[in-house]
Amino acid sequence: MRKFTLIISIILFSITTNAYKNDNYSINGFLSIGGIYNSAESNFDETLKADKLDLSFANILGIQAKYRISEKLGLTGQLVSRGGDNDDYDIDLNWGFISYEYSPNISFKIGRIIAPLFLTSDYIDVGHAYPTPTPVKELYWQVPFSSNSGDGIDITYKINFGDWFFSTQATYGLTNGKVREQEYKTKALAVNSEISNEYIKIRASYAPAYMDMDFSPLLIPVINTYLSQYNITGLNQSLHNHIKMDNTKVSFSSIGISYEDEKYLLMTEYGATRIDKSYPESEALYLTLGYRFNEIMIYNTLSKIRTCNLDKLFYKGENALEIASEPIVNEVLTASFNIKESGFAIGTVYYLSPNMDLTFEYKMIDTHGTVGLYDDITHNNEKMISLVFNAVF
Amino acid sequence: MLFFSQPACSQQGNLYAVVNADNKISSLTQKDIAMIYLGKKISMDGYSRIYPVDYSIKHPNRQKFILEILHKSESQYNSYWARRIFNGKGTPPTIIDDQNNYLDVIENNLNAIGYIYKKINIGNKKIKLIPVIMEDMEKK
Repeated sequence: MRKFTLIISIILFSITTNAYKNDNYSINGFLSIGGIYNSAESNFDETLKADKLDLSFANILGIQAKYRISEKLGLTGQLVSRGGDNDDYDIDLNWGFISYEYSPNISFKIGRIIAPLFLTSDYIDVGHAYPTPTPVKELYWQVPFSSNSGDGIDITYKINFGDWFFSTQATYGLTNGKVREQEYKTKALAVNSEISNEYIKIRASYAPAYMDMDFSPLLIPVINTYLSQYNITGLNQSLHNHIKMDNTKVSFSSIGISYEDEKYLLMTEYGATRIDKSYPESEALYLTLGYRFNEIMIYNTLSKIRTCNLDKLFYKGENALEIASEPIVNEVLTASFNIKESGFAIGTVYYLSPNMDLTFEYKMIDTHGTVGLYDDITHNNEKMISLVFNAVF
Repeated sequence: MLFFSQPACSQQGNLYAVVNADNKISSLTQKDIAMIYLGKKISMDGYSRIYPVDYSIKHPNRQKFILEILHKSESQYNSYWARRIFNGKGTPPTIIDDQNNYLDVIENNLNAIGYIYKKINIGNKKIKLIPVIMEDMEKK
């Protein structure tokens, strides 16, 4: 936390000046700092502390430098330090790529890049760029490593059609990282296309990937907690063999629309995951509507997620675990994978200056009797209160 | 020191694009120039990139342009560019802090484009003024 405080002091000093820029290079940055209270009794997602004010989860700062080597060749690096997991504030290279502009319409990047999965993927760490204090969890939880970048190549094609701007982007890369201390590796292709004008943006993406990950150290204790109530033990190895993902095919597809004029804001996005192995598939969406008057915007976000196709899970069908034929085991395993959650949030964004804002949000969460995304025990109603300061410079 | 002390109260319809005298652009609509300053029109001919230049942050011309042509508040405009700067997809218009150099930058760069709100005598500068066709006025 001490290094974060030091860097924040530097950043806040910088905000009072302007981003540095000359003909060949520029330095920009972003910062979010704040607190989130989550009423969940014990947290499934350990990155956000349960039933207390979390003064780390929303904190992030980044510094980006761009250097123009020549008319067509550029170098971009972005360093990010974030709170959340273990409050470590380690400094990561988020972006680090060489770009080559073959023509105004076609460009290439090679190096460390973020797979463009979501409507806000490109600026998911920049809190000032979207109204909610953090990305809407019901949708973004589906790809928990979406803000982690990978090493690969990217080609982008863009062109104007009258008053419309069209772009399509394909990225292929390898990603290594950790989700809640569990290591994962992916080989992913991500393709997206978007069409936009002054006000509207419509974007669709599809990303097939092969993934190595083992979530069993997280899931098995939760499942065994349930089963121990019925004096059932001994599932560990069987579960582990089924839960571990080894070059497993997964895919994510999404479509998003945003509209913004002087007064009104609309953002909506739908995303779905498909997984070949033991994990349930999911689909989620959100809708944010905002109204701006002077330097204040009020907004409302509705969000939903549900897991689906639970019947195909490993303990059912041809490869069923023998012990899962026990009704209670079947019930417990299903409950462990079943997620259904609705969120209703109201919030305000107060623009302190053109490059700083203060966002407040009150969110009510209904997990419909399932584990939901915030709690590791069945719990119907939760609430979250967030206050986050965002800045860009 | 040709024109910059003018107040930003010119009537809509007095907007002129400023380009290098050798630039082949001959006409521009309000939507064209809005798309250029939002980074969504990157070339007029498909071959050469356009480089929009802008006034300093507090300059009245810039504030008027953002409000009336881009239809955004300054905070919306900053949020908009925050979405594009940090993904390597775009670079905001270059701000010319010394407004006396504004025309010089355009004169020295074939693909640069700027704007002013009043027709001026350009003297012997190698630039040209192109009246921006205002769709908002045409509708009225």
